[in-house]
Amino acid sequence: MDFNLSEEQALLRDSAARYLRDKYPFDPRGGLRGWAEPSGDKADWQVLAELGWLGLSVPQAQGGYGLGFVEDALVLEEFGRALAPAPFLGSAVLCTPLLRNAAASLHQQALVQGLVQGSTRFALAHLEPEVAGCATRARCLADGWELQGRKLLALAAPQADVLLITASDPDAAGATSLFAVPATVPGVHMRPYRLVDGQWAADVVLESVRIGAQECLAGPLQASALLEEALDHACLGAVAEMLGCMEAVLEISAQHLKTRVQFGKPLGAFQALQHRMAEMFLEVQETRSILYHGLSGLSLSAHERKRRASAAKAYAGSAARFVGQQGIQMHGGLGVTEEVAVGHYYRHIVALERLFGDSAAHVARFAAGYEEAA
Amino acid sequence: MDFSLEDSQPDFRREVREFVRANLPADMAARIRHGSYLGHHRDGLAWSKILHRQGWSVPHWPVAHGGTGWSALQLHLFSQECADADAPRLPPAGIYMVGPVIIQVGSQQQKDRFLPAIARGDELWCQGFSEPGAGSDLASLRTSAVRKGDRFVVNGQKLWTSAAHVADWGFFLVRTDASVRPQQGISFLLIDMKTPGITVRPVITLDGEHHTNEVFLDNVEVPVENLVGEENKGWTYAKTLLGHERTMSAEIYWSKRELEKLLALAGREGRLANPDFRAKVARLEIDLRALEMSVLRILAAEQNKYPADAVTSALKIRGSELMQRVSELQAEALAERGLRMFDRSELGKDLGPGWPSHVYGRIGGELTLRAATIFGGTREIQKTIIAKSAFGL
Repeated sequence: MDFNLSEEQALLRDSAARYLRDKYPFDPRGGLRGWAEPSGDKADWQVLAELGWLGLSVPQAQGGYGLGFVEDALVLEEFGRALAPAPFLGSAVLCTPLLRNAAASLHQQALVQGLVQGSTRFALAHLEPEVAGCATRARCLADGWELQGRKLLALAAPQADVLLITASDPDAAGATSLFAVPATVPGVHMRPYRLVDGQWAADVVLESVRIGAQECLAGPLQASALLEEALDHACLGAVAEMLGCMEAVLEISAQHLKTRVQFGKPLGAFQALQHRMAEMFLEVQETRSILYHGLSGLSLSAHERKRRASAAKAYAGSAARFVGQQGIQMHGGLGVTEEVAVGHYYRHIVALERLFGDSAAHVARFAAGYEEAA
Repeated sequence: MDFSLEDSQPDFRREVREFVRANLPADMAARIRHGSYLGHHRDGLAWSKILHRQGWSVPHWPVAHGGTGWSALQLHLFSQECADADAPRLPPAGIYMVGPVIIQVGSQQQKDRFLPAIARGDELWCQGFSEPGAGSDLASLRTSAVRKGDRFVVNGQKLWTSAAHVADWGFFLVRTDASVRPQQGISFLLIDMKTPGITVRPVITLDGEHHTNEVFLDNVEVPVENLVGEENKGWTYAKTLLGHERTMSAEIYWSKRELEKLLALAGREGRLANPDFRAKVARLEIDLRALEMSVLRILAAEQNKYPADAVTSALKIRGSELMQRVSELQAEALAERGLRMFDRSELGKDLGPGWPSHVYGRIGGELTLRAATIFGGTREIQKTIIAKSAFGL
């Protein structure tokens, strides 16, 4: 048991903090954070690859650095702190576990190499208009597949070169499979929009989209488990980003309480606000702890991994909302404008709390363990 | 970073588990299982005696004074194994409070006289800090000690003196100099509870039990060799005492065991099918998992960018709130039947149809623990500490 960063980990965290802070300083007139164009910034993304961040947890045999998800989380924490617009979480972190089986074929190995090198950008298109189930159909053809359906809220999809799409195969009793679909294939239509925190997402319509047989990344036997594993990683990634946001809110709020004078004294002299700061501090401490608890589950059974990821996502979502809300409250009227950073953190927190299942959903998923035990 | 706790030290855990299973008396375990957080003071002492046979009664003390030399992780596992088996909590006043102070600043004579008796489980201690006029504002305490030759003569009144009615010894904060700043004129005295002039009056808490007391000191004569450290330095010793076991106040071992009890209880009562109740239990368990990790972070000496006392205070706030929530949900799981008050004599008796043994003691447990966010420094005091030390407010 050791909670201190190794020298290499500290170096990674510090260089991430420095790079992101310099690259994305807060601009009071900048409006909604996030990339201006739906297609993103290819040069910007390329730098992430050069820094090595896109291959941190990809095995060395597949061209990555063979480190763990702890390293991904360290970088994500700094993304949160800097409110960096690049969709590191929504694209690279979410999609990496989905490509884990991809050693299967040369074509799929090339996909992973593209991911690590930043030359191929990925997005997962999974959610659908009907909340439950997968209505997108994959029909097996002689030389490949034909996809038909509609996906919602595919994060980072507008910038993606390849979409990872879940679809069910009527011939396999409707079980879900996972496909890699180049965004340029005829029949793929995208409707991009921004989320509350400025990040890009899209609805994806698939009209008789034909792809080759090699584009099936996971069949009905593996896809669901793979997807669940990827979403658990994404949950923990979201927790790490929220933690970065929370620590930043804590810092700027304390600063504000020391400098803003009302009734002839700094706001920080009022006990009501001192105690609020203490409550926020407590939530930040506990969020880091539950993140570590979640990360510790990644090396355990699938059952433990799920429970710990859900515990972390449930806890952090509520805690981050609390910290963000109180941060705004402490800033007074300015806090509800785009001109100070605290509200931008809150927008990002709101998005992260909701994505990959909100706190209520994860409390329910965690509590499902009570039946299994009974 | 290395989060692995699972499968750590399986031999150590097995050794502890087997010893506890073989040596914890069944009636004692039953009292803990059905009792409240404060438990029965004499049980704690008797359990110390049993652990002493194995050399485990003061595990965190230096080896020279009877400690085990275990690592922080082993201490953690030991406490968890004992709690899980329904062993009593070790009596805190001697083992966690006065013992470490004597080890640190006591005279050789005090070390020889008191430490072995604590380690053997021969003597029970109580803490005489709070007074009717000095609760959170402890430094305003007024109980005085005036030196007359080789004795101090102590006069005053203490309050919330848990276990004073059964304790052999007490450690007291007394005013020895009224002319200086309140914190500077306080001394730390060890007082034999059988000394003439001491009167103990029970204060019955909301659970209907006698845990705590009011103690009157009327011309109580204390030999000067019972002064710990230097005269007028008592405040400093009291503060280090509260910092000795930084993770203790989280009471993680107690709360984890009570959560298991809650899950079993709620399952038998069919309450987990209620989505609202179920979500409350789940949120409690999630918060508890976070808190346990916070304890482990401290035990493993994490370099935290925030000051240690802010981190400890946060632990105390969350730990005490979780104790309240778990005890509250245990009583809530019983619905109307959770309202019945029990007498100690009813423990282990047949309570009649519709009254399984798990209903005993739950409402009392809930009421006892309203004190958790008050004793050991109120939640509000802890928040002020955090604001000051972490943010300079």
